[in-house]
Amino acid sequence: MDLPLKGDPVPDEHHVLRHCSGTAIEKDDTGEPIGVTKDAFADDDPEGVFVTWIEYFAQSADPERAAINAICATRTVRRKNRFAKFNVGLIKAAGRDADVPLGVEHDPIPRNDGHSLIKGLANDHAELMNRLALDLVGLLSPP
Amino acid sequence: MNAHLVERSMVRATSPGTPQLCDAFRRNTGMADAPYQFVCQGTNLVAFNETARTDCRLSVSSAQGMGRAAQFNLALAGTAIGGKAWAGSSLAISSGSIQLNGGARDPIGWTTVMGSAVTTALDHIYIGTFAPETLTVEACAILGAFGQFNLTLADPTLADPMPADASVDETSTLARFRKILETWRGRLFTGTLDRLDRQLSHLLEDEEDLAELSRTPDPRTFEALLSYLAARPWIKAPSLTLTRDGIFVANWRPAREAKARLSLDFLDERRVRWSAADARDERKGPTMAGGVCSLSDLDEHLRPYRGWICL
Repeated sequence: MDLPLKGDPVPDEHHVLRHCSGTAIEKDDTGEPIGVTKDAFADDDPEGVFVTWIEYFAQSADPERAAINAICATRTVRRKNRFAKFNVGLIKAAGRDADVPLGVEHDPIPRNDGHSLIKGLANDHAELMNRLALDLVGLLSPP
Repeated sequence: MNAHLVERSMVRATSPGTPQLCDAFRRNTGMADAPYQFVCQGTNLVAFNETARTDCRLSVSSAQGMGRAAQFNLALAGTAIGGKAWAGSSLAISSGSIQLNGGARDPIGWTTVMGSAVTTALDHIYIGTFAPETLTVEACAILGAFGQFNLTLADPTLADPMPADASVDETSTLARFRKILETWRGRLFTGTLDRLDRQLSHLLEDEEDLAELSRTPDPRTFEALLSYLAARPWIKAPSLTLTRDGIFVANWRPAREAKARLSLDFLDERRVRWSAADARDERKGPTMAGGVCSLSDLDEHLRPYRGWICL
């Protein structure tokens, strides 16, 4: 495929990883993570919510691990942090359900070529964030 | 003891099956001649024996049909292991109000409480103890003034209390919040207190993670959450998370890992932000709701989610 450019939309069937603090991870009484909360999407950056495009690393033997390594190269990742995996099409569908147009755009940064942004999500969209968090596909641990 | 309540409920006869309960009622109500009736589940009265339980729940429904208001009177008698009596304040009802009378411990360790409430649908009565007491409810009687009620006992499936962790640094965030939680002992049911302690330990154990929040965890919002739960003992202890601003968030799901969740952000002592999302029914499509309101208005907003949050 052609190399995606900054601003290109991430295809609906693809997935992104969101780096989550331990404080936004819902746990059962044994401490086992069972999901992420709306606060996993809280982000002060006006450009959008930072995510990493997994399929960007499709040439890698383990694209998920490659995406996690790219995140770890640009951010401090702690033992209790997790990487929440979401489907792009479901993110956009949840936005449509709430009449909030959402998009996921490629936004490469140094040391993380798969870096992308969820556009259109504001911190006051608590209900929509709660809804998005329910569409979690998987929760991955740091290396 | 409020004799008026007893008279109004037209208590009758005496069952031979629960002599201890009958004796306790007589002693504690001072109505030695009052004829009480205790019969088996499935009628308007029920007797049961539950031992070594910290909290339990009784479900009551009107035999007159859903949506029809009916008054019922409730009487409970019991004792507690360890010689401590349980108090009337440990009873709660999930809708309407219940006025409790009695609660004093009699000379041989039994306590009797009586109350009156109005229900229009399936309702629940929560019986809890405040640690370190352990409850033994010997019997329960429910007496319908205007109709019959069905009463069943439900087990809220309580986990074992978490043992104290000697390795916790006394100056840590976790230790500070555990101290706050400890000050609420006696105002929260034992099961709720234990679960909150476990949730706190998972949430606050990593100081480096907490250091990355925009603000440190806010004790005021934690106390607002505890105050909310203490006033509503029929609500299950939630799972806990934090916002980036250090605000405590209480989360409930209708079932573990169900694609539905209610979250309450306790913004301060008076205000709460609530958000609910339900994506379980793919045919009907997802629903979302939420807003910011006063704590006093919150119960009305949460009415559709009672099944998610009640014990």
